[in-house]
Order: sequence, then structure tokens, then C-alpha cells
Amino acid sequence: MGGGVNPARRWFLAYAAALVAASCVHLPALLAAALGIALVAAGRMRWQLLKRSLLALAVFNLSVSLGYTLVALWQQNFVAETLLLLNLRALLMVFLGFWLVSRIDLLALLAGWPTLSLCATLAIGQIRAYQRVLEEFRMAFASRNPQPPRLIDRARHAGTQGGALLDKSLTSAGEVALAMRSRGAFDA
Amino acid sequence: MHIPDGFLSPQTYLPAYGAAAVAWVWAARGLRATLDEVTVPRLAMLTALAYGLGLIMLPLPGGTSGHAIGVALLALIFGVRAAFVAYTGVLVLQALLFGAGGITALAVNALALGLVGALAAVGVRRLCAPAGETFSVALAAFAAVLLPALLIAVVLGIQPLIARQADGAPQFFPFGLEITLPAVLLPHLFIGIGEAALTVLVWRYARRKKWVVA
Amino acid sequence: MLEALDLSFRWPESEAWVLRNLSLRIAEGEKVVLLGANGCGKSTLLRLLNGLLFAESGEVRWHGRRLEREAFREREFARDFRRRNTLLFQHPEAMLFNPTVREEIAYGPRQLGLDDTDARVERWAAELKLSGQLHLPPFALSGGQKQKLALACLLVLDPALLLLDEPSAALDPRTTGWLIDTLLDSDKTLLISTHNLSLAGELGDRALVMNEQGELIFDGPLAEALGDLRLLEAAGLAHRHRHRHHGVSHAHLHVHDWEAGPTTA
Repeated sequence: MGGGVNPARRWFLAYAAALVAASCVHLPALLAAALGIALVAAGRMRWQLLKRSLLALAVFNLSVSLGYTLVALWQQNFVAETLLLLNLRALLMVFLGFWLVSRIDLLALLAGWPTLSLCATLAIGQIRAYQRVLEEFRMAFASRNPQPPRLIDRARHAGTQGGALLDKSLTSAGEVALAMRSRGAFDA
Repeated sequence: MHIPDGFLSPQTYLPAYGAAAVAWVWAARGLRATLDEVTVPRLAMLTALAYGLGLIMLPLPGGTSGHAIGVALLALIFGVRAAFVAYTGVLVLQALLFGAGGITALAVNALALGLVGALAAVGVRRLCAPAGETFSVALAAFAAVLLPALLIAVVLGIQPLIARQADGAPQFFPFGLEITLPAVLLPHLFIGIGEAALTVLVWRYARRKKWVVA
Repeated sequence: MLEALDLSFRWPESEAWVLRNLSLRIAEGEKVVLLGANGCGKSTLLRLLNGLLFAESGEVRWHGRRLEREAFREREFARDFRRRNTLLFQHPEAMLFNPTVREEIAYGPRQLGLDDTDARVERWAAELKLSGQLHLPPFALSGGQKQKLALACLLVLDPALLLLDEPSAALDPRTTGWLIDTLLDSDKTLLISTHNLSLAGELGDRALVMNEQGELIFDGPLAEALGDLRLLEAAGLAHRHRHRHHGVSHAHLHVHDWEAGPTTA
């Protein structure tokens, strides 16, 4: 019987441990050091991952940081270290997340759990199909609007997209089940 | 509405994972009771549907847009358990496939949006059904946005109380309830209106196609 | 009327070019057939020509005006462009979002504030044999009816140009016949993409042929393109597979014209 944890799962467990550790550290210098180590260890992808992390955090962290700065200055208890702590921790955690995603295949992570693997495989395939469908809807709407659309038209369009996805998901579930049965997936 | 990584203390997210685990077992048990060969493909499609609904841009007053959530629709059509499991699936895929979500915050996000949102939708719909289908569906969707928003505002707002440095400075999310409550709830009033409109439109479509009965 | 100059396009997160150094010109009144195998970039080209996508290399010009994002921020230009340059999507469902067929056809004229919206709706519903369905929601229509509805939504604007993306892909033979008649009777400038060679021969005078690398490899008379097996092979539209003639099994280059039967060079 095979033993040990598969590499994807090892990476995931290491990642989860790193997240817990990062949330137990409250010194900006240590978090900065950890981020530095992660950047070095990430190899050639480091700057791309860092850029993605910064973009992912931009809106939320900027608003939180700005809000904290304004409130704290007004209350006369501004602590720069707090700002640094929040942002470094968030950046480290998000960076680790993107790094993990670049290193592992989700389906490898779920290997050994056939129901979850199957569910994930089907879901991912369908998500990609839905992304294409919604992109087509978006373009068709743009193409059909000589004037900026009214709120009610945008709402109707959103509703139509929801209906289309609902249709596809319900018919796909039935078809997939039939196809799986046809291929013996439900045979004992 | 999702909480990203880094803003919740371990004193929050670790117990949340405990609570979520109990809820996941409850949901999975309930789904297994109706297990047939369509269940797995259906759950997969529901997860994809939940993800896809989140890609639809809701038109909001003022010419802006926001992402739809879709939990109310899932709960009203497929039930609380299925909606909760599907929404959890979305959060997992977002985190591990697209790197677009918080793993530490996943349990809180799943409980708030996937479970409380679904329960709110189904509960409000049942309570308000005598007032008419359109009204009850709209109010259900609105509640499915506002109640999770309230929960998230509370969870964020208590972080400065739960986890702080020796000098009182916050270690995680730095604002208290007096800020998080209005800051989170006010925009979600608008999102709730957009979500209500979307849910009613899709619900009506589903009724006409006989995907659901009243 | 419409031209593409040295157009190259790839999707933002991809290294692979979908279209390469493509140049073409469409004059008013022309009926042009865009031929190419599935996946060669025809839909992408049509979307570029309809101002829905913007290339990083090369340009598209509409009556001399370059199509770029900034141009569409000018309300007058966007309004005029969307009225005169229209695209029928391969999946017409993507175009339909109004509660009834009547409102769907009326959408464009209403947006433009045209006085004769109702008359236009009645006219085009009658032309496309949808008068009995005006009260129905679009999703209740059959595939062919949705195609007709989508076309009505464009024709009601009295456009100058109709771009059609695989218009016969999901149609049965009768509806395909209707489509051919409708397009041939039209006075609009047409650019029709298809990989269906038997349909192509009915639709226009001029052919643009794309290969599977996203390049334009022929621009000239349609009859010449359809008669050139080597060209069609290069475009992925002709193939060789084993079949029998009089009990003898062999393989040679040919196209499938389902009306006339397989033809060979």
C-alpha cells in the first residue's frame, strides 16, 4: 500500500502552516523577513507573483490603510507599525497563496478522494464554459447598444445571463450523469 | 464581500473552521440522503453555477456595477445544504485555483455567505410567502446579502477587541464595530437591491421554464 | 467602408497569436464570405471589425476612423457606429435579453429614439415571420426562430453592414434556405463567416480565406476559392479520408459538398 502524502498535499499543508504562523507573528520585521525568504524561494516567478499579490490587495488594503490613517490621526493614536503589520501580513499571505497556486495542481491535491476530484474536474470545466458564455453575452450587449443602456436594460441583461447559466447547469448535470453512466462510472 | 487573508485573528478563524466543519458534515449528510447518480454532477454544476453567478455584474444605481453573489437563488432553487456546499466549493476554487481568496478567512466566508445567506433566503421566503412571490423572493435575496454583511461587519469589527498588542494597537483588522457596521452595511444595501432584482428575474425565468414550482 | 490593416491579435494572457498580419477591405454593397476552419479566428476577426475587441498590432478603420477604445467613449460616434455596423453572433441567445419578442426588436430603435419604432417592429416581425410570436419571451422560441429574432434586431436598425458569424451553424435545412433567401435579397453590405462550403457558394461573390494560423491566404472571387482544392486544404477545409468508389477503398483530397456529393480535383 502506498504511503506518505503526495507532493501537492505536502505543499498545501506547508502553506496552511505558514499562514497560521504568519497570523501568530506580530512583528513587522519578522513578517518582512518571511516575505523576503518567500520571494527568494519563489524563484523566477517571484516578481510576477509579487505584482499579482499587490494588485489583488490594492483596493482593500488601500482603503483599510487610508481609513486607519485618517481615523487614527484624528484620534491622535496613529501607530505606523500597525499599518506596516497589517499590510505586510496580508501581502505575505496573499503571496504565499499565489505561489501555492503556481506550484500545485488542485486535482493532484484531491487525488485519493475520487468524489471530490470528479466534482472539481466537472466544476472547473463548466466554469470555463460559463466564462466564455458570459463573455459572449457581454460582447453581444455591447454590440446591441447604440446608446448607454438604461438601468432596467442592464438588469434584464444580468437576469438573462443568470437564466442562461441556470439552464446550462441543469441540462449539463443530466447529460453528464448520462454520459458517466454510459461509460460505466456508476457500475459496481 | 469576501474577507481576504491577513485580517482575521487565529482566535477567530480557527474556531470558525471548527464550526464550518460541523456545518459541512451536516450539509453533506443531508445531501447524501438524496444521493443518486446525478448528485455528484449536479453538485459540480451547482458549484460552477455559483461561480458563474458571481461573475455577473449587477447594475447598481449611479451607473456602477458590483458582482452578484447568487446564494439566494441557489438556496431557493436547490436548498440550503446544496447552496452551502456549492458556495464552499466556489471559495475553495477561488483560493486554490485562481489564488483569489483567503484560506484563513474561508470558513468565515463560507459560514456567512454560504450558510447564513442561504438560511436567510429560505427563511425569509417562507415567512413572507403570503405577501406574494415577487416580494418574498426579492426580500429573501435582500436578506441573503444583508445578514451575511452584518455578520462579516461584526466579525471584522471585533478583531481589535480580540487581538491587540500590549499597547492596545490592533493586530488584525483595525476598525471597531462603530466603523465596520456602517462601512459594510451601507454599500450592501445597494448590492442587496441589485441582488434582489437579479434573483427575481432569474426566479421568474426558472418558474416559466418549470425548473421550480412556487 | 471597413478595412483592417496589418491586424494581429492575441488574448491578453496568451502568447499565441489568434490573427496575424491580416489586411482586408470591404466596400459598400459587397457580399463577402469569410471562409476558414473552426478555431481559425473568424469570430475573433468579426468582433474586431465590430469594435468589441481591440488589437495590439495593426488597426481597423470604419469610414477612415480608427476603431479604438477612446473612439467609443464619444457618444455620437458610438451611437452611429452601433447602428450602422452590426454583428449577428453565432449563438443568438447571447444577444437576446428582453422580456418579449416585440420589446427585443424594439430595443435598438427605442434606444435611438426613433419615432417609427412600432412600425419598424411590425415590418421586420412580418418579414422574418415572427408576427405570431411578438408576445412570447425570446427563450420560448426555437433555435431557428431565435436566429430570425436576432437578425430582426439588427435589420430593424437599417444598418449599413451586417457581420454574420456562422449564421447557419445551428439551423436545419429549411431555415438555412430561408436565411440564404433573406441575405441574397438584402441590400446590405455583408461579411459572412462560415466553414460550410455548400452554403458559401450561395452567399457572395468574393471570398476571404483564413488558414488555421490566423492568416489571410486568399482574397478574391469566391468561385475561384471554391475551385482551388490546394487552397482549401491549406485552410483546413478540404481533407483526405478513406472512402469507397465502386467498391475500391482509397483516400484523396476532396471537399464535402453535401448537395452534390464529394467532389475531387
